Amino acid sequence: MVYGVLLAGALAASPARVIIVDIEAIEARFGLSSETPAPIAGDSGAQAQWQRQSDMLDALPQLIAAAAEKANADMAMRPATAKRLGIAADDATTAVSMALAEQFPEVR
Amino acid sequence: MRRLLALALFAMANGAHAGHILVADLSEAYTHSTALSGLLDAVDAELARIRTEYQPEIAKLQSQLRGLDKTQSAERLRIAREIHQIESAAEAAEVRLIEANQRAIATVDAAIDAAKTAVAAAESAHALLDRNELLYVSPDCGCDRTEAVFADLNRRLPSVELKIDR
Repeated sequence: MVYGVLLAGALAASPARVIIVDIEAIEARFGLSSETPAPIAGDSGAQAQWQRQSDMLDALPQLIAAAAEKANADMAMRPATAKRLGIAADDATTAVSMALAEQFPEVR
Repeated sequence: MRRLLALALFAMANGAHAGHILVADLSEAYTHSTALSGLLDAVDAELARIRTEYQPEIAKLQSQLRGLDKTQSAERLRIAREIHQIESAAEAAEVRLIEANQRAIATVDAAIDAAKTAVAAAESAHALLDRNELLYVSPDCGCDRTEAVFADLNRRLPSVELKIDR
């Protein structure tokens, strides 16, 4: 009986499996910024670069989700959040960064 | 052996509590919090009241101004000054509304923090995070407590008063 109660408690409150992703480091590495204004119409080179940046930023959430699923993690958070909570977690920054580079080989 | 098993299970239970993280999506607080949705209605009503109080007089004076010819410069100046005074009064009323809104939102924010703390404490969770603090949350994590946080918040603070300095 006692074991049952303890086991139920252990399972119900199972610890979250967490990965950390340093999103700011990835953005810095690839020169991404969500605040970059759209270039003036007519400059096709700048327009293409801006569009690629936008596509890469759009791809990041899916790549983080894929990394979390691969690591069987419940959640992904920034290193600062994990530090604030005192959580030790696997760092998936390199994996996400590599997946992004793979998806956009032209910016490697 | 039984004692060892009990100790191991006890350690599992306690260790698990230390890392138990809950999540709440508070991005739609304005629709799920009765206090915030009521506040939104109160702000809209006050904005409408300000418009009703000041706009008709401004429109009347602007009409008078259009009716004057260029030789009536003193009268034109008097009306322009009056319009400016009324517009300043309307702007001051809007500033007081903004300040009152900020105070009310601070009250709701404090209640949201208290609701998050209460929900986390009820489950002995390590933390309850805002969904936007996280980069990803598995839909299968069983950690979403959005409904519990809003239920606690609505019990704790069903409404919030928009206190405007007059």
